[in-house]
Amino acid sequence: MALHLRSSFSSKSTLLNILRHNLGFGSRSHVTRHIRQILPHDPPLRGSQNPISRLCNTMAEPETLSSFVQHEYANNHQVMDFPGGKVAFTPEIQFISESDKERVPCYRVLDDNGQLITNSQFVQVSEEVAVKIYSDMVTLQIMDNIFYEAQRQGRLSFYATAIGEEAINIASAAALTPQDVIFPQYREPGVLLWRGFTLQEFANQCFGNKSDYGKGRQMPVHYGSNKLNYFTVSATIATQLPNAVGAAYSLKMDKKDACAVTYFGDGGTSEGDFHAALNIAAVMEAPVLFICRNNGWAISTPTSDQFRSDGVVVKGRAYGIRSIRVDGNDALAMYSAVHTAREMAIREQRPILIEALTYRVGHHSTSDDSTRYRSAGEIEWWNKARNPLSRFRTWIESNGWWSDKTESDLRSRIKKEMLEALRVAEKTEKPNLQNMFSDVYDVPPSNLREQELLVRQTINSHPQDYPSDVPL
Amino acid sequence: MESRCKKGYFRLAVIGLSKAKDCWEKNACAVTFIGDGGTSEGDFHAGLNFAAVMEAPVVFICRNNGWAISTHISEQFRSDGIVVKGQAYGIRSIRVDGNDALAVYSAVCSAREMAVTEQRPVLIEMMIYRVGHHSTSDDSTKYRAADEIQYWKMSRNSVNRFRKSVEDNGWWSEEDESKLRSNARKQLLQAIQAAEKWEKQPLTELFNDVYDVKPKNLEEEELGLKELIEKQPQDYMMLKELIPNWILGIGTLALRYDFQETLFNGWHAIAELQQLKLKIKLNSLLNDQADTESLKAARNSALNVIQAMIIHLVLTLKGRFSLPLTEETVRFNEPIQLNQNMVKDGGYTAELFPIRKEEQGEVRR
Repeated sequence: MALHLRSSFSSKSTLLNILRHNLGFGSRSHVTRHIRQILPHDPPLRGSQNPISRLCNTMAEPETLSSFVQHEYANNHQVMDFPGGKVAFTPEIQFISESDKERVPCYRVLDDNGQLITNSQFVQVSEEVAVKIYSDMVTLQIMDNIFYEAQRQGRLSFYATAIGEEAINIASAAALTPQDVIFPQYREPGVLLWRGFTLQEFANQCFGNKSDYGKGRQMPVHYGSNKLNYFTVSATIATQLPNAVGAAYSLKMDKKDACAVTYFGDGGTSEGDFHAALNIAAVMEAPVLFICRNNGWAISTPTSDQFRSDGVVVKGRAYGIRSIRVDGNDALAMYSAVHTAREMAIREQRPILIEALTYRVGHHSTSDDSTRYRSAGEIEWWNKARNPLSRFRTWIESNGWWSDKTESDLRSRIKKEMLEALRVAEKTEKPNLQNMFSDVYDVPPSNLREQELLVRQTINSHPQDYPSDVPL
Repeated sequence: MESRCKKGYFRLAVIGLSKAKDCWEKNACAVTFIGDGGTSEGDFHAGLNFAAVMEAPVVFICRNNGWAISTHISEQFRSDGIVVKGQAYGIRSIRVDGNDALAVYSAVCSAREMAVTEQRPVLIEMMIYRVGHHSTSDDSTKYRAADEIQYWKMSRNSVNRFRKSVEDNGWWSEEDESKLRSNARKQLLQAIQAAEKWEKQPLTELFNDVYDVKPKNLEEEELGLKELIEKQPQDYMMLKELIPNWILGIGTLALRYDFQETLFNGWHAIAELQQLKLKIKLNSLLNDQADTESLKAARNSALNVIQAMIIHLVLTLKGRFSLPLTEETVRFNEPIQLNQNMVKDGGYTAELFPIRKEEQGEVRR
């Protein structure tokens, strides 16, 4: 059965207003009022050489002159006709503050107790979709807990959880379509889960067995799936962002009704790749969603040591990209924001930046002990007071779509399935040695052939040192 | 004399005696300049982010002149310029008319004071226009309208605007202007003449200053090069200076008249010549003697390319300007025979390059 999504016109227009506000329109800041620029509304002197004609100009819409600038304009009759657009003059030596006094507000729909906030605007979800969102959030949580324990038992080499960030994972995926192309970091397995990756497939990858699509050559949690349009996770920080822009441009050239979606953390925003990706996305007008999971910590680096701006959302304006700040632990807010952003990206052929505020309740990975750099009280507060599952569950229960029994049945079933998948994956044979040298080139070059020969000779000389579960 | 900044719009209060002491411990800041094109580099991103987090006293001055070589600003970024990037990093910023000397002076003065007294970075976007070409390797009329250049050169000329201001104050006159220009021109021509006559750096400088104590591999390279020069001084001079200069000279002419094939030949010849030079050096080191055959091959190869370039250049000029020339007029029957006077002349002779010779004379005059 096809999913029926209903969205009200007023909710979309309100979301548009939220985005427009964050872009800087109607700012009440005392400092910026005096130095608001006339935004360019003449086309650039030189036409675009893109093979595709621009569907629309991503230049910000011309803004009504503030009274100050208007006064100045009328008196001096001077405007600089600069390449790229006109700029008004001011005789005052006014510096733009490093941050506005008021921080950019955070969009949310459900309050801390899971109650709908009065007058909140959101994209309505059906019972079916809402129940699936919640079920997948629970599934993700259980999977993370079980895999984490398995790693601690020495059955896996490595694991990273998405505990505390389940809403971002599942709700954003729910707002996308299977044709949208995903460029993940490593804390978004929930997107794969929503798209149909089975628990067995997750387990196969974590154990690197013969059924793993990556043939055992990736660390655990570095999932990938061609079928589900989910690009294999790259451990290097932020490299997926430029990739997403290129893919988005390709979708644009092919006139597909789809966009690219990429995820990254607050730490990734400090990489040069972030800078290049957002700038070229704006210039090329690429339909891409940049979703930043700002969970407050990049391993042990707090955001106050990561950047000094008012977070990631204000970076959108610096690149000429529309942006919004969202409560990442509010599944309904995440769903609505991503749904609306996707619609804008495709219809208007432009990039959108979403900063999802959340908290990493788990450690950075199984190689980390986060109590060394943050207090247990802080972790507990986010786990209890702002738990994404609790809030959403309260809402669907209030709609009569969920119950204690349903919850109990689901958890019991998922746990059983997960343990079974783990058992099967653990028993499945490993890929053979030859896979270590294949797939990089269509025809293996001589240096790789020599390396393989050398490895096999070493194994022949020292068979006792070779793992018994990896076929030759 | 009291600092001019204190009379400006901003009067910054130093908070706390201990803070003031720390601030004025080093009463200085770092200043860096960048173009609009540079803002797209990852280093820009890292630099501004670190400056904000580390609260470093640095003034970032961006000369936004609308063009990064031939890349128009609308294809460089889509934000409202660079000034809005300040808030993205948590850095204070201002946009200034870069052609207004007084505005630039005031803004930088204020920014410096903020940076030093408050220990923070500040970003300044200078709105300006590049009237000249990007460099001598560029012809900017290929990608922007001549009247756009003219508009900025005449209507927004920074020198003219400031001159009017200082004249209005009674601090400048026509005579002052004329005297200054004449004096500056004379000094500059003398400086060029003197610099042109001065000896080049000794070859050994090629191997100095990379290490405090020169390592063995650099010593070997230096020794090998010296031996090579001692054995074949005249041929080396020709390979080192004359032939590359000829090729570059012809290439410059080709660039001026947009002869792409000639340019390509020149580039190819230089690359080929460099490979031959490497081969010569290697053979010299391995065989402990100069490789005469390779040296001759390099020289002949280069001369052949030069001849082909000249023929192509002249025939193209003939077609374009209806010159009474034929291919036979400029074809050489055998490789050019050079003598010591040609070497001393620095690579240019009246016979081969009458135009260039004339240009030199003009400069010296």
